[in-house]
Amino acid sequence: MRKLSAKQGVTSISVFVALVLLSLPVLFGAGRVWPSTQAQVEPAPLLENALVTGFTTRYTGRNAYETAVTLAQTTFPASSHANQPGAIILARLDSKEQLMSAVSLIHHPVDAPILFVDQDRLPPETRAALGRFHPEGIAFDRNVQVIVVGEVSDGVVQQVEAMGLKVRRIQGTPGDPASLAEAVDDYRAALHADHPDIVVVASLDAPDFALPALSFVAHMPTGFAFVRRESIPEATRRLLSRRFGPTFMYLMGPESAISEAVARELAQYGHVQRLAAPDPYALSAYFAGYRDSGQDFGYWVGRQARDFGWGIAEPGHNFTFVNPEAWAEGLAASVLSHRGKHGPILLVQQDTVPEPVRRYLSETVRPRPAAPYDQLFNHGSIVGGSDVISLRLQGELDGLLAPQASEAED
Amino acid sequence: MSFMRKVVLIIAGLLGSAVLLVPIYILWLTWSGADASPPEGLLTLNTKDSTRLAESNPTALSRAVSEALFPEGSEKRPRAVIVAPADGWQAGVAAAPLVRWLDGPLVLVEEGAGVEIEIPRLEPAGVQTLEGGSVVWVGHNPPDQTLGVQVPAGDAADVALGVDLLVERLAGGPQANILLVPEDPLYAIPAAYWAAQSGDVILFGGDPLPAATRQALERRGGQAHIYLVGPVPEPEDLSQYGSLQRIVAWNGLAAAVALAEYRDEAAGVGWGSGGSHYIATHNFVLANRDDPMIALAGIALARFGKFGPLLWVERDRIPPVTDQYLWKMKPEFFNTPAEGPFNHLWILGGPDQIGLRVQGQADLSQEIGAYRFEEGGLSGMEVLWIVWILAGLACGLWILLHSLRRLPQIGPVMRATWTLLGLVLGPLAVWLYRQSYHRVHWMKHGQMTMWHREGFGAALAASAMNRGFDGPLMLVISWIVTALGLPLLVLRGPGFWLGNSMMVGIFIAYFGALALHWLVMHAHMFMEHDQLPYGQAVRRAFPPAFLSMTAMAIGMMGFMWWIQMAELMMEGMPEDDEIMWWGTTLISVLVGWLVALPIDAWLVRRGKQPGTM
Repeated sequence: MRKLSAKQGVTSISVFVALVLLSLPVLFGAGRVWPSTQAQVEPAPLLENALVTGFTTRYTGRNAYETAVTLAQTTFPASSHANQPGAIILARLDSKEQLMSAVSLIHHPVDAPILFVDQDRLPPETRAALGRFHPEGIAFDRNVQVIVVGEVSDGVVQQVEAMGLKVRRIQGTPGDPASLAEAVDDYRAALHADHPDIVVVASLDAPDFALPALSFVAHMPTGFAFVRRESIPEATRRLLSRRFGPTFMYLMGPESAISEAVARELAQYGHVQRLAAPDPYALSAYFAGYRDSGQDFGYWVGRQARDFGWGIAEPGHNFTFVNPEAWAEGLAASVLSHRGKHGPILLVQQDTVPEPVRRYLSETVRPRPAAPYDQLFNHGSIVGGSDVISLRLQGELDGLLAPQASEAED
Repeated sequence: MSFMRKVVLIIAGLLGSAVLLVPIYILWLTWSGADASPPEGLLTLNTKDSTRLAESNPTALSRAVSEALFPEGSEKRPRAVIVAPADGWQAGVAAAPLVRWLDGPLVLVEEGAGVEIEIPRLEPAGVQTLEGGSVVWVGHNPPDQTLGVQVPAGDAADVALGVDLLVERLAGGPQANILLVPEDPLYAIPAAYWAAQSGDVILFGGDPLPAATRQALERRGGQAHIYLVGPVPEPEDLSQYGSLQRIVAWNGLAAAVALAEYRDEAAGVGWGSGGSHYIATHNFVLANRDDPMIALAGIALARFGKFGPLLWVERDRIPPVTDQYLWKMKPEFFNTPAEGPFNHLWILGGPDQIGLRVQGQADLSQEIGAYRFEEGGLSGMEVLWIVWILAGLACGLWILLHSLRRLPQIGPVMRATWTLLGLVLGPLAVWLYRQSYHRVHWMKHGQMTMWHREGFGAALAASAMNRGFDGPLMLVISWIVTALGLPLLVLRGPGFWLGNSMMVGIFIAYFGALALHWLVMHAHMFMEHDQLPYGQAVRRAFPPAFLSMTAMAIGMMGFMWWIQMAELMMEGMPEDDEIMWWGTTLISVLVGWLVALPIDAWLVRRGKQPGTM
């Protein structure tokens, strides 16, 4: 009797293994060859998207939803399995704080662009793009295809699920942006089995100073948290204390954005550095050249280095030009720093290059003429339509990016 | 054959098939480029590393190129504009060096048309040497005879001579460097791209040598540096005019690649974009080989903007010679992807000239990646993994055949185990196999064959028995859970890392493999070895199976964690559809074998596990 039951047990185990093994090629082969095509036919490529110069390319749409789709399609051409996104991040177009939290999901292993939704609406532009991409899913999170971040209604999530897409939601306490940043941090920590010790700290009272840093958050696994000018939210305290060993906090903005008292108080969680400039434009030029490296954490058997910031002070790099008035498109454009050009965001006005940005481009990173096989080039991505960054300014930026011989003063 | 033996053999067969088929499936995915999104719904024709100039006729495209390279808002102005006819490529090719000498774009126009739109927009400064002329007409009769400078229409060689004389005026003397091209646009236009970059002169060869070409050559007084591009004939001794070099190519596609790579440092000729200059930026202009006028319309890209040489593609395919070159030139970062170098591609024409899939795949080839592995292609390291995988297949097969012929007494279960070990450990398994059976005494013990091994030999054989089964089990189970999507638990608090998906996957692989290894393989071994019923064999099998496999799992999973999570994280953790995953996991099995070896030796010494099978 005992022998028989063992026999049955072994039989059922081996039948199970056999079925799983045999069904694999069928399951996966079928999934690869016949992806469900739910794409709707969309209008032809936009004219303004063709606005290119020798050193710049413009990415835009008829509205912000379309601009985000353009940026996603640019980054993930989806010409084969290899350049499909791993997933799509959906976040609200009207919430700067929620979008900022969503940016730290862009990087591997999620490998996803941000598309916009409204609180109660899945816009047709975003829906069409979701159907067209039909991402393969995050292997490290049960092949989830869409991550919905922040305060988005259940109805929108149901619409996405009805498209046959597997969804994960990341939510904080409603009305508390710091808790959403914490929830995103928890998710990222589970994915990596680690909390990054580097944390970009943005001010809820002057968030634009953090815009330049978010391109780096998309580029490298970096933590992100909010404080207020005069106080540290509870969620942020929890986020910071969850780190093992010291935390390296980079405060984005001057004392008018994050007070000196808050900076002093944060030091209890680790090391604090402030990146200050009179305005976000100047801070974007400062941040592009900023780099802080040194010891992160470790014991006597091995120590890890920390490395924060682009540290770009030489030619041969790429820059994303964003007008902070179009911050939503600018945050979606962080995906350009994740794949392809891997460059910092520089902030400009609609028809003016602010002086610190101009000096950075024309003096610090200007390519100089060289042999054709040894020439370095800079490239600029222009985000938004001509109402956001003018055509004239695009031409001017093209001139600032071009190699130019240096002139000695007489 | 006993029931248990059948079960063991069936599972071994399935494991073996999985170990064989999964790498083939991954390679098929890589090769076929499956999973493309449909072209409908695209809002942009640009990608992160490619820019498309989407005009489909040569005149419009040449204007789009001139607008992109001399944009509104930029202070850059050409000295003059070069005009060539849109209905023949020869004049435009001959005019190429003027792009350099006049610092201006080449505009293609229809017969009888002018350049009314371009001139006011570009505001060319005018050239002193040409009495302030700001338009140069090459092989095209202008509607207004008084406007600018002319090189009249005629034979290709005559137009080229006319341009040569003009270049001589502009440069203050004849240019020594000459590209001698055949009258075939697939060779001549890539050469013209270099001429536009450098100002070197293009002349047309032929048999007999055209008189105008001979006249131009004679003007160098024997001091010319002549570069023969492709199959250009040498009807007479050309060395009388100067030095001779041939840029060899068996067709126009290869000629474009050869020109991109060629460099004669002494004369300063050639793009020199070969594999050795991997630090700098490299850009390439892609054009459809069936539409040479489109390629010619983009020639200003050889000199302005993110300039670079021309490469030929087809509408729906990147020909192998071009594809190989592009992948060779793929930029690779060393520490972080922000450091560069960054390449860029120009795509000439609409999706009817160069398809979106070709653009996407070309973009992939120029996207900066880690030097260690690449999605969608194979890196050097992945090629090494493939070599290791193939070696495993060869070793597994060899062990199977060898044991069938030379060791019939070991029985089917041992044979299957050794074959599986060959598949995952490759040459190491062959060595273990030899150590276990070569010149080892054996005797029949009832149904069983027992081998009398000296010293450490018994431990090695026992370790092979263990790893031959649990190695492939952990490999295949890990792959299955990764492919199905690993579960992830978002936890808070100090134990948050237990919810990590790779951690969960490790537990699934460990317990799954342990159950099968213990209840099937090890239990069967003791049933045969000690003639025990299944229930007793299961009890007897637990300590050795548990200890040996736990040690193995610690080594294997620890190494997997280190290499996939910590070491390769910067480049994106390897996933189930990448050879990098399979290769690193195979190596992890080897590490697991090594870590478990002392435990196996201890088990054999204490008599808890036979080393005699």
